[in-house]
Amino acid sequence: MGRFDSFSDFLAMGGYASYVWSAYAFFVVILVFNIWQPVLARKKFLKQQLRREQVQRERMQARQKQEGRINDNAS
Amino acid sequence: MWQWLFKLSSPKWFYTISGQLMPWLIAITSILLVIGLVWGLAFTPPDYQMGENYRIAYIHVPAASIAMGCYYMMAGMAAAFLIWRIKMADMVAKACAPVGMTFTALALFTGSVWGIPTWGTWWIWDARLTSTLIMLFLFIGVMALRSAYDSEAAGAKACAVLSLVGVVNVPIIKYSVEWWNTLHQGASSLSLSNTSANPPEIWLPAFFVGFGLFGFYLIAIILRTRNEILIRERRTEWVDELLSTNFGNNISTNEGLG
Repeated sequence: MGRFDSFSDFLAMGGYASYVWSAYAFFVVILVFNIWQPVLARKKFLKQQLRREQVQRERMQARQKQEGRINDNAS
Repeated sequence: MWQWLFKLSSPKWFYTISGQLMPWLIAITSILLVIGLVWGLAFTPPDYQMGENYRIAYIHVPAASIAMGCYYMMAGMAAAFLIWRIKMADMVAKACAPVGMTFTALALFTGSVWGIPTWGTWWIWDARLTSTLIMLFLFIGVMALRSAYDSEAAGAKACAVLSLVGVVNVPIIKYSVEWWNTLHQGASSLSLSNTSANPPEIWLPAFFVGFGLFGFYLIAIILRTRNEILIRERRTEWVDELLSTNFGNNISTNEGLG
C-alpha cells in the first residue's frame, strides 16, 4: 500500500488511525449529504407535480362527462 | 461576455446548460478526487513531526478555502440580486448557504480532530478558529432567516443583506493568522498561496483534492439550484413541457377534447 508496508499498517496510520479515519469519515458524510439531499428533494417535487397533474386531468374528465350528460338530457 | 451573463440569468437556459455540463463535471470531479485521496492517504511520505496525522490536511485545507469561496459567491449573488434584481442570482445564493455550511463544518471538524494530537486540544478561541465558527453561524443564520419569511421576495432581500454584511468576516478568516498571534499556523504549503515550503510530492495531491472538491462544490450548488428553478418556475410552460416529456404520463391533457 504505497508508503505503508501492509494494509493493516495503512489502516493503523502510524497510531493516528482514530483521528485520520474519523476526519475522512466525516468528509464522506458531507459528500453524501450534499448529493443525497437535493436528489431526494427533486424526487419529492416530481412526484408532487405528477400527482397534481393527474388530479387536474381527472377533474377535467369528470367535468366533461357531466357536460355530456347534460347535453344528452337536453336533446 | 455580457450576453453570456444575460443568458445565464435565464432560469431555463441555466437549467439546460447545467444539465448538459453535469456528466462531464461528475466525471472530472470523481477522477480528481480519487487520484488526490489515494495519493494523499497512501503514497505521500509521513511528516517528520506530525507523522501520518498530517494527512487530514489534504481535506482540511481545500474544505476551508472552498467554504470561504462559497461565502464570497453567496455575497456576490446577493449583491447581483439587490442591484440588478436577477432572480437567478437569488436562487444560486439560496443554494450556497447549506453547501457552505457543510464545508465550513467539515473544515472545523477535520481541524479539531487534527488538533487533538497535534495541539493537545480540539478547540481554542484563537482568531482563525473563532472567525471560522462565525462563518458557520452566518451560513446557518442565512438559512434560518430565509425560512422565517412567508414571502419569498422579502426573505430573499433579507438574506441578501445579511450575506453582504457578513462578508467582512471572510478576509478576517484569511488574514487572521497574519494579523494576530494565533495558535493556528499560517498558510500551509497545501494551500494555493504558498507552495515553496514543501516539495511537490507533498502538495500536489492537495491540488488534486482541492480541484476535485471544487468540482464537487459546483455539483452540489448546481443540483440545489436546479431544484429551486423547477420549484419556482413550475407554472411556466417550459417546465410543464419538460416534466411531461421526461417523466410524465400525461398522454394528453386534452384527452377527450377532440
